[in-house]
Amino acid sequence: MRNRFTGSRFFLLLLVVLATGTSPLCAAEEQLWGSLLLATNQPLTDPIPEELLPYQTQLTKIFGYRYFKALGQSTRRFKDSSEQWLIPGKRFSVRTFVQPTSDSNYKVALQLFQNKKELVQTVAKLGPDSPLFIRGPLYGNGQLIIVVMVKPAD
Amino acid sequence: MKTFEERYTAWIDGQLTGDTLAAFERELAEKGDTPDLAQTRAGLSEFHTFFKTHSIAPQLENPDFFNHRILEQIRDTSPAPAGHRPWFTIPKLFWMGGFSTVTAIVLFLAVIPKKSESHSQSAYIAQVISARSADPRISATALKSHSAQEQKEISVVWLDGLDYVPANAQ
Repeated sequence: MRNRFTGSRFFLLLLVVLATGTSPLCAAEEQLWGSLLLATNQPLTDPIPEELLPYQTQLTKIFGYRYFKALGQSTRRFKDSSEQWLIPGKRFSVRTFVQPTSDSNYKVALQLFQNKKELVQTVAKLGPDSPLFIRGPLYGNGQLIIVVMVKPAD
Repeated sequence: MKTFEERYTAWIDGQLTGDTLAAFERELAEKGDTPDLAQTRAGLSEFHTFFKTHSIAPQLENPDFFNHRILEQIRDTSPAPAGHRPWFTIPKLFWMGGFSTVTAIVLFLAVIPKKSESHSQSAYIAQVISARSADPRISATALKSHSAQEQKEISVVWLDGLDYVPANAQ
């Protein structure tokens, strides 16, 4: 009789571990990544950040510049809903509030500041590794682009 | 008219009298089966009396214990009825465990979403819900650029009206 109960308890424990160990409710740590990109038509020695390599053609098509390089990057780790500040450049900062959604995506509310001036407020739904691009001001011979993306922690 | 066996039994028991007794003993003599009728009847009567006096069951000192042992022996030797067999037999537990494990694995694979799939690079999800600027000189527009050739799309918040930033000033 005791062996039967011992077996049943072990089986229940196995079920619980299987269910909770892989459940999306078991929140994992994520990364909020931001970058300040310079888009220009002058050849650059620095390559585009690896995260944005799949989107280079699209960026060229929509912004009209062929070369891209990161002037600054910023990463913040977060878990569940939280407010984060990304400071990808000296003069640009992004205040974000990230909220995971039930479909494994994220609802991101962000404010983009240039120095202390707020340029834009926006709310977006982002999937993992899906960058959102914000067209910034013209800079020198090119264009500044602010990128915000959620990606799984390493 | 009584049969021969009935009259014979009544004769052994001494219940025949008078003419009936004489007629029956005459009948027995004619058959020649019992030459000495009186001796035969006396022997049978003695045998009958012996059984009447010695066939009484002995008095038991603990009749309840005796009955209990008898009933236990009867239960041990008779097969158990189908309705009273234990339900949790070892083979049933084995099959139930296997079935439950398979069910758990199927539910795990089918119901619980896998994070690795949702994080795949191919699924680009970026939908701008709202975009606005507090500065009336700045306009904010949500754009989506789609490339059918590369099966890629990107979402852009397009800001117009921003001040030019000189090189090396950022």
